[in-house]
Amino acid sequence: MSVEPEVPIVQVEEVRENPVLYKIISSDNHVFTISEHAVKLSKTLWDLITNLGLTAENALDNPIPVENVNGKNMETIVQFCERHKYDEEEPEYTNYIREFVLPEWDRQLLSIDNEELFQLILATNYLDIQKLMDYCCRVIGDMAKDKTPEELRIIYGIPTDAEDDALERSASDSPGPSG
Amino acid sequence: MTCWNYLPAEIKQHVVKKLDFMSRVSLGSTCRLNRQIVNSTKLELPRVRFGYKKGRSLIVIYTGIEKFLRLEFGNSIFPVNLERNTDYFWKPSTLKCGLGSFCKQCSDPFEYWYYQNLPRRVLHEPFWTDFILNIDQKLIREELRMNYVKDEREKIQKASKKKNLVSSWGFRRDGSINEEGQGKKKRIRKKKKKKIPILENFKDSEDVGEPEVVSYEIFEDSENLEDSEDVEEQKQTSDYMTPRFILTVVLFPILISFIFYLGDTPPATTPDTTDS
Repeated sequence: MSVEPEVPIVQVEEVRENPVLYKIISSDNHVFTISEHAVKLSKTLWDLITNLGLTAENALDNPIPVENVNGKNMETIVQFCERHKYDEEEPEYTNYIREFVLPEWDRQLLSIDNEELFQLILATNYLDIQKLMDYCCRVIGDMAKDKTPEELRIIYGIPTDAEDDALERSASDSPGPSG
Repeated sequence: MTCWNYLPAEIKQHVVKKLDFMSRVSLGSTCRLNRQIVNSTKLELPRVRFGYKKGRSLIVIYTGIEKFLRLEFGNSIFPVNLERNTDYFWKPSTLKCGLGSFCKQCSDPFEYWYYQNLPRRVLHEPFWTDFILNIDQKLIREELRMNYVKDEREKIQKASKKKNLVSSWGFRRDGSINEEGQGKKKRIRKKKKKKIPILENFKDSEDVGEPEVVSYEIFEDSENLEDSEDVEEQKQTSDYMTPRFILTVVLFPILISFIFYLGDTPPATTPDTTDS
């Protein structure tokens, strides 16, 4: 891997005990350092690390490129993983909607605009981080609370059925790729 | 621009799982695709009450204390797949005192509210009260009415002390109605209650405190019709004193008779010009 980072390395959080660090490069060539415990929260990244056979010695020399995630989202993800790396498994809720309360720190981390949040969800889905996915879905769910369908259309950017049909019609009428 | 439509269906389902009942309904109403996604996601309702009698069916979905969605259907049967989750059922091990659900301290708040309001429900929903014996006896009904009136008075007194009213869950809060209109409504309700203390709030059969903002009732209980007739009679008696009534009953016949009188009187005699 010979990717030359243009931007200086971003040290997101000071790593205390764990000496094993990994480097991740986002789609816009931002480099992030993440600890082993934190990277384990992402199933995709951890599978990649185990498949590549990265060890404590060669981990920093071989940065992992993640093409589908930009620097901004990656920073949020790394912050989240570092924060929750020593968390215990959450208890099973009988009524998730009522019992689960989003922690304040995470609420502040995820208080971003809708477009960024949807992008973050896509990135989380790609990296397969279950906890962050749950939290993001919760934040999106909270946005829909006590809202009318019209308000939801504006918040989520959902087109009406008529607009959908018009788009489909225009797509079918337009000539396909000439070959 | 990334928006809801760019998310894969699995993530959308994941989000829908985190939504409460009314938000699901709202999201399902936005477009066909979202309706399919909402319908494909398992819905968990902690407390639901079903009733079926003489071709009429009732579904009350409880979403909290004094918060519910009441649906009543006539002559319609619809298939619903139901799954019982035993986690929500009452467990004897949690019982701390002998009062059970009637204990305010140790029972579940919802259970307490539900059982406290059971007599009120019996009074309001005579059609659905087959589960109680001797409910048709007039004495029991009268006793329930008296208790209801007493309780309502206490509630009004309490409500007048509370300034901030919490609107029902799941329904949109309209600021103008809640802040300004609520006060007016209250005043009107109080005035009405002075005149007809028992018959007020009979339509809100499930509600005991502040009435629901929206209730999806398809039709009211037919038994309540007798009561509504009484209300109409009272309204009619109050109509006698209105200016419109005076105008139509008193002034209008006088006016008509005056017109007829003018029409019948012979024209004034004029000197005959032909003779001269």
